Amino acid sequence: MTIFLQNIISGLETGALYALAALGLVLIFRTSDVINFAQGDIAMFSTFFGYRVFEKYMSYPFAVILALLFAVGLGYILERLFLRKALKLGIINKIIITMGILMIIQGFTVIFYGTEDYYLRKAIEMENFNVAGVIIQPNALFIIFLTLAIVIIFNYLLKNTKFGISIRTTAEDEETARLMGIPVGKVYSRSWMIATALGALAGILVAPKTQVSISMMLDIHLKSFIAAVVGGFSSFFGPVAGGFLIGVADNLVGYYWSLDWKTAIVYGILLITLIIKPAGIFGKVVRKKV
Amino acid sequence: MLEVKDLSISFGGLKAVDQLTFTVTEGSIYGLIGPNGAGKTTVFNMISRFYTPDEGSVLFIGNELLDFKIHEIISLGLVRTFQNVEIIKNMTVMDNLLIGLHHQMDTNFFTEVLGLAKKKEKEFHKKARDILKFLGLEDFENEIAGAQAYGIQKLIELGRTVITSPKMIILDEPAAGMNHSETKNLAILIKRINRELGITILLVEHDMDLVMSICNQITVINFGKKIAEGTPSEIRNNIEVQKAYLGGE
Amino acid sequence: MIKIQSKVIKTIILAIIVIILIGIVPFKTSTITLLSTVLIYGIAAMGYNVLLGYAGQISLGHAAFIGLGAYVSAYATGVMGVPFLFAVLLAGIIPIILGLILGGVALRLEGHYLAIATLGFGVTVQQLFKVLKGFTNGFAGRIAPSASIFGIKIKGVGYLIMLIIITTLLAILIENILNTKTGRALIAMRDSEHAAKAMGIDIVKYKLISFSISAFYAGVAGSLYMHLVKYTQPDVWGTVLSINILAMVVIGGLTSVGGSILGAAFIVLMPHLVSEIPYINTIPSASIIITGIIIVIIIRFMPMGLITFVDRFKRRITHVRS
Repeated sequence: MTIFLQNIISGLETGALYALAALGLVLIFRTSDVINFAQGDIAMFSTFFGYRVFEKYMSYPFAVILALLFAVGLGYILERLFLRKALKLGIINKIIITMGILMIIQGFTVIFYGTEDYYLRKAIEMENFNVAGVIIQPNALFIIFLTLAIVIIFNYLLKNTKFGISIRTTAEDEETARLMGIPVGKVYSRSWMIATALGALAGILVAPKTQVSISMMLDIHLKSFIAAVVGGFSSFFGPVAGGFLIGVADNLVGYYWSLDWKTAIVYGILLITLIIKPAGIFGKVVRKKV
Repeated sequence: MLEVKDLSISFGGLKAVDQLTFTVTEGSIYGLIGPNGAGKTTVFNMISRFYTPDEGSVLFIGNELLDFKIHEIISLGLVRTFQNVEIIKNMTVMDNLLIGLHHQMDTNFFTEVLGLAKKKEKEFHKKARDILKFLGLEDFENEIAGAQAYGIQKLIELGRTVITSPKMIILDEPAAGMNHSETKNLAILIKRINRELGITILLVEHDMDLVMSICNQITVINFGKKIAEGTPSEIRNNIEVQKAYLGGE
Repeated sequence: MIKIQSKVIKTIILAIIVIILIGIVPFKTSTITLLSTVLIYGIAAMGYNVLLGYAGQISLGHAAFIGLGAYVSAYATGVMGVPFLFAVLLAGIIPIILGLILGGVALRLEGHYLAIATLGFGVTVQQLFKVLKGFTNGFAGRIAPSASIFGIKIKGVGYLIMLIIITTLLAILIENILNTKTGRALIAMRDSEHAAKAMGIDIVKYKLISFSISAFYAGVAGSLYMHLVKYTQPDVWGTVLSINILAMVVIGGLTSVGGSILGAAFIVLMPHLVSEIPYINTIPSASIIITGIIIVIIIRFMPMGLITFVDRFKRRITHVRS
């Protein structure tokens, strides 16, 4: 039982990171109609930046804040520079633009930070403690609660602020949003800024496990897509739920079934979800009018 | 030719169409009219199988349409147009018409791959040209359909239905977006299709003038229910119809 | 009708000219390999063009099909001793089954939903490549013997010439399909599913056909890749490759068969060309940055693809003549 609970906690920890990344993905997706393939690499670049700051000033909170600001700035610049003028181009062309962005970001990462891997400390460096035989890592709890807090705050913002409503309206029906005078351009850039910040946060939190490296976000990046599909992205919270689900499933399958096959099985869950409920567990499919 | 019996459908508790019954006789031009929101398009979509009714039956030349899928209707001889003119914008006018011949083309995949279908293609092109001539569109053959004026696009869609050699065409608000003289020309064209090509027409419309001028028989619906049926002059003098339109428009 | 006829002949003449050039001009081995790679990707791109450009199905997991073709061919020739040409055919046919599965999933999805679902599909298949060690040899990688027809080994220039012939053939086949009933049905389905259905086009059938054709071409490409490079492992067959194929087709020009080859040439050759530029090649990763920038520029300013550039150029030449 204790091992089971430990697996659950560990699963929720990775799941939280998937959830953060998936939330960012879906935010950009539903407001500016782009599947942002550069998401993972933007997060990676920001994490490298954060690492350098930490290396220089040895203050973790300071480094994290600067890294998040860096991500926000980067998100703003990328959206304005690359996507704003390309609005009418259709989803496929926009996907390729993000692919171009991905290449550019990867290139710049190598130029500024080389190809080495670096170690970044955990957010909470504290002793593990023991609750009724279950070993709990404070850092894991921190990540889980931080993510939940972010999700709750985001939910509050969405429902109760002008800004949140403008996001929801734009995501639902852009034409109407424009007609209602909603500054759709601002919604785009702010969605990007929030999404890149969430990605950067996920990067910083996963860095202790993966090292700060070019390929550090690969797993989270891919899983965020899976989380969005499994959870269903007609809402903002389907992907969050999907993220936690995938994280826990990944861990449980890996421990109780097979480490070798665990990723294949988790993706298999994705496929089954697609066959049974293509819009995702919490999703609704929109049908076109005749 | 077309027998609609007790057709009913509800959307989320609201009955959109209620026990609708009417019959279209072969060779006629039949009108289904009603004020906005009366349920005409819903009826239309049920007949063409885009929706499935909760109750009722639709018999077309003895076939129960509700047993067929959308793409199977055309082989029975029934074809439709769309209110928002769904032509294929990125293809030429000729190709748009050739789409209409799709279900008649018996070239199979393998003959196509090996380039053996070319002779058949020539025949299809000739038939399409004949239809274009009938509609006065010969000069538009190689133009891109989406670049044409709205009126031309409507003609293209009409051509696409006519080329299928149908027994019956159902027109979905064909006069939508047309001005007075365009509507007059449309009326003449529909009559020509009916008389010269022997095609029965079911017209769903809310433009009174068009319906009155060409239909042999009309059913009026409001709030999903039939409120009157008869010839144009009978309908014109029907008080219920006048009330419905005055109230609605 | 005369138009279609001469296109086939034009293509064959072009192919013959290229073959003669290759035979005469002493290209470097690396160039020969590069050109071979262009054609291989070109084949995959042509098939993908049918799926994306004609049928309008956004599929982001296409690498799975190419990889499957590669592994099937390697296994067939290396382990089962199947003759090369037959293995290439097999490598095209088996992925069709996978294509039908994905097509089945695609039937109920559109747009974004389809895109991410296919992404997940591609990643799942890649995972299967990693774990089905009996078939793929997992991370250790699979090797394949050289291509040989009737006992004669084919490599280097000979392989490139074989590729030119195969590509030309496959291009003609696709043009044939697309200029007839199937091609029109696919475009109709892409642009107006309602109208297509009302005109008797069975959407299920045509979606499955488009997935099947693209899977076949991808499989063949995978097999030809396998016998060029002779070694592969699962990391190759991931999202990066899928997106590259997407880029090839879009940059080259959707719905243009020639465009697919052009796009393949662009994606394969651009990083190499950039790294030839003096000063630029002293900066590490400069080529990837510049390629990324150029991709963005092309999409922004030529969203219909490079082929429009080529068409405009052609038109200018004919105008000069008249």
